[in-house]
Amino acid sequence: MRTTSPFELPAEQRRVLRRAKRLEWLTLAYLVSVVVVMYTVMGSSQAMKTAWIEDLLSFIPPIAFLVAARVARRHPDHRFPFGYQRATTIAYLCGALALLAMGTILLGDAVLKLATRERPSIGSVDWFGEPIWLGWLMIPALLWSGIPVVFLGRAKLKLAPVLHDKVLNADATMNKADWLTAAAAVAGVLGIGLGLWWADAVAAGLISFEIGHDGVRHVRAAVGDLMDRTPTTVDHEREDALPERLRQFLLRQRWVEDAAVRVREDGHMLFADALVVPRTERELVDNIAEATEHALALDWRLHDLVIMPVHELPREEWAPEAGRESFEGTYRPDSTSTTRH
Amino acid sequence: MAASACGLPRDAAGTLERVRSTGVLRAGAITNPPYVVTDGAAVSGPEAEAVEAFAQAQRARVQWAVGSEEDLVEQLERFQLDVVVGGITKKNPRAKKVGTTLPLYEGAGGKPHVLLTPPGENGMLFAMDRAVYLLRDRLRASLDGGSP
Repeated sequence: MRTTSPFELPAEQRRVLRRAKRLEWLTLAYLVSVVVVMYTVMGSSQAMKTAWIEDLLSFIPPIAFLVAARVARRHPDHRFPFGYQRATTIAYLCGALALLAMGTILLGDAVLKLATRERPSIGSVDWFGEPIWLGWLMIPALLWSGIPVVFLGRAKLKLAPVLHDKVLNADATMNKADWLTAAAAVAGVLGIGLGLWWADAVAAGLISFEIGHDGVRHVRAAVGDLMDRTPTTVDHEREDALPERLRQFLLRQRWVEDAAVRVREDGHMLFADALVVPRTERELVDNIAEATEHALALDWRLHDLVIMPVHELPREEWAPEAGRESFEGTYRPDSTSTTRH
Repeated sequence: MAASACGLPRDAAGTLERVRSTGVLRAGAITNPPYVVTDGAAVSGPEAEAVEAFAQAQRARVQWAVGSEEDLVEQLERFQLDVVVGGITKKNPRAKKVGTTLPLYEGAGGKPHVLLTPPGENGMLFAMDRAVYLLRDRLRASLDGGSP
């Protein structure tokens, strides 16, 4: 069985990957400190507990990224002829499901606490022989959990589009938004200090809603990736222009009458297959080989291209414009060319 | 602490304010010698002393109610009492829903003993911690001196 040829990142991407890995290791070390500090001061505050659980869940994307950086590099073999990149997307999905589950559970917890009018008692700790209210320790802990992470997120966000890495992008965007969690929890603690018993549960509810919302967004993205959705930009906002670029490139070849292209993403790699209607069958194999070689140079991510000569494009082909909303299999008479010029 | 001079933390139900303005501290006592000794309506023992000391600091007198752990903690949860004592440890499951002070001393088995305050009354809790925690050496001595 033929296997996909091993994938090598270009030099710039290799450099950026090394930097990204360093940042993710730094993130993990930082998260360990945050989790320990938060655990020691969280007391019986629901908001603190929720923020702490969110910090625990934050371990998943960096670990997924670092594991994927190793696993995805493995050369395709007989058992996995298409390679190992999917492992990344699966890790991403598991992390997203964890976010969704925890967000839902914690939201339920917060709502329950509000409904039963549970009032949190936050006491004191011995601070060198003097009692100090725990809330005054919670606030610096929350600042430590909410401020450095934003800088880490911003640094990683710059690298994600260069690597076209969706896990890194998801991790970075979550990091950047972590200050909101810390701010909500600080407001909750101050609210309790002011005698507003519900402030803690409300803050916890807001934080857990945000966790669940993140979870939904990332589950949708990961599921789409696993279903070989048409390639998108790294933040899943827009469609990637590459499939159309590839099609236009093929159409520009002298020997090509018409072409239809299909592209799927697999981690960093793009796999494409193209149906091509040749004008002439002379030197067909040479033409195909040359076109393939030049097409692969269009984008570093385009790794595997199979060009298939056909007499005519199938009638189910759609008008492959980038940005179209729906690609149902409807017959569009203006897009197929069954006539030869 | 300068920070606590701002008046934070405050009570959600104004317990400390009420104790100061009415001059009455409603305390529940669970018989548990040698920590809390009851003789009819009279309550003594190191933990009772701690409550008396706190009341004095708030210029209030203590109104004792003697009862079982279950009854008294329930009354505390309903804000019918301001504090409950009785050799209660921090790990006591009933202590989960209410406020617990810093440990006064370690009782039998090395378990730290605490006083209980109404749920969410963090101002009261902090005031108790400040008044009573500083007495803990004296309380420990009283406990050692008085144990059989």
